[in-house]
Amino acid sequence: MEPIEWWNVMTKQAARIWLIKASLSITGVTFVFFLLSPALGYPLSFEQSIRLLEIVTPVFLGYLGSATTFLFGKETQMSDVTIRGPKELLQLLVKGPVYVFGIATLAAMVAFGYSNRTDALSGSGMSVDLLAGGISAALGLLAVTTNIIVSYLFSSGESQ
Amino acid sequence: MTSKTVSLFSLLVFASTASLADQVPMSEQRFELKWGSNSDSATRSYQSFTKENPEKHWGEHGEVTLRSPCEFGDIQEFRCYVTDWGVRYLPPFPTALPHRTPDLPGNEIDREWAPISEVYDGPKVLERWQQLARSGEPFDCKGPICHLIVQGVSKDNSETYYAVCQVAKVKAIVGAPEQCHQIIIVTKQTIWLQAITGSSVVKHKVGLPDFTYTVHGVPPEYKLPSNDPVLKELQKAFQHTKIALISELYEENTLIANASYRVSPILPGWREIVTVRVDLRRTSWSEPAFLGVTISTTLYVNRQNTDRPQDWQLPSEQQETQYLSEIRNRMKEALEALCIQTNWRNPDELICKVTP
Repeated sequence: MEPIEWWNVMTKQAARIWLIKASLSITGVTFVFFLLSPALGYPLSFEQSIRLLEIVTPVFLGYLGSATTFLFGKETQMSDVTIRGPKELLQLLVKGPVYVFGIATLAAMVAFGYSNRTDALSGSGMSVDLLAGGISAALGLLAVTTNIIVSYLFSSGESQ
Repeated sequence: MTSKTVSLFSLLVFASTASLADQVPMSEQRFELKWGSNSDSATRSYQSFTKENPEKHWGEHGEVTLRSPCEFGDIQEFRCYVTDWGVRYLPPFPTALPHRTPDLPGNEIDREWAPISEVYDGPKVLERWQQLARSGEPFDCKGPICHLIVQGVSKDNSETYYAVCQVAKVKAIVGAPEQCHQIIIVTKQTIWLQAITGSSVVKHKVGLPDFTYTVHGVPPEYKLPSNDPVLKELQKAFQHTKIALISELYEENTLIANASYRVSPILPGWREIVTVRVDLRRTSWSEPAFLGVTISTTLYVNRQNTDRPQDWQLPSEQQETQYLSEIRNRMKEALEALCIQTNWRNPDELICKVTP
């Protein structure tokens, strides 16, 4: 077995902090983008934009809610969490899905904007339903990875 | 790259080019219907209609005669009540598309939703209308104005609606359906057809044009510009970059202008399907005579560059106002160009001095 490099290892505390920062950043960027884009000429109406905002934000708001509960929860109600697999997996599973979600969403937004630009061939644009579908698929990845990690990490009272 | 990957890639390229090249046939389009009925409103309306006793109701206004057989076009198999001021059919009711309705006494045709079982030859009528809708081809054309049966947008997909609309076909471009009359409502339980329940005399008929300009001459001759230069100026106005519509003369006094699936030059960021109709009329009953220019607009908009029927919607009130304001300005300029001296008596009334 190859030796584990220090930069590949993430402590549970570092994972919690990283998830909180990522959730805050994504929530912030999402709010700013979907509230401003219709006004700045991106091909979405405010109604459609808010609909997309409603799809993305609850997931990250859920993570932030879990973190807040964790911070103020009673220590007696919390149990320690142990990582059974190789330690470098934690970093990969915490950061990987969030990065993939970011890239997939960015790609969908660019494709949507580009195919609906003024000089695009008539009828060739991506519909809002397809965009919503793409974002939901990307959120699906978070559901099977980050959601589970959050439920373990933020149910523990252990501090390092 | 494996052969499987290559063929998958080719299939994707083919699929994307094919979807770009094909235009969605009208039979697959769905349109939002203004003042659309649904099965609930049809049921309510039919119930209140059947509650009414025609003999008693009409008897108050004169003599009522039950006629059997009673004619509707060439068919002599109906029963009806006849009075001095119209006719009222009894079930099974006749049907006809609005533009094919035969002459009946009076000037107003009475239509009502009726269950298919209460309609004369109901299943055959339904099949005939649905066949026209499936074909997606404009029919009964008179110049560039044709008719088309389109499927309407249903909010919950539990009901299917069909409407017969007018469409302008200018240089093979079919414009936005307008003046739609809903004719079929299909639900899981029943099918409603728009039947003709009679006709009556209505003294005053009201139209719904967007706006009308009146052009008056100046004394002593009160000379007015003739129709040809007016229509030419209006055609020129439609070519203005701010509206850029393709126009064609329809009959002597009517001009039709169209644009389909384009980026709106008036509503930034939106795409549009639009038909603008201009009707000229000269009064014969007023002295001095004046020229009336009536403009009617039908507009559908879409925020995206998609051809999905459900993405095309009626404009909001603000968008409609903005659009009409631009059309109004262009029409105003065109009318002013006909005169050597102009004076707007009010926003819609132009006093025009034409070249002697």
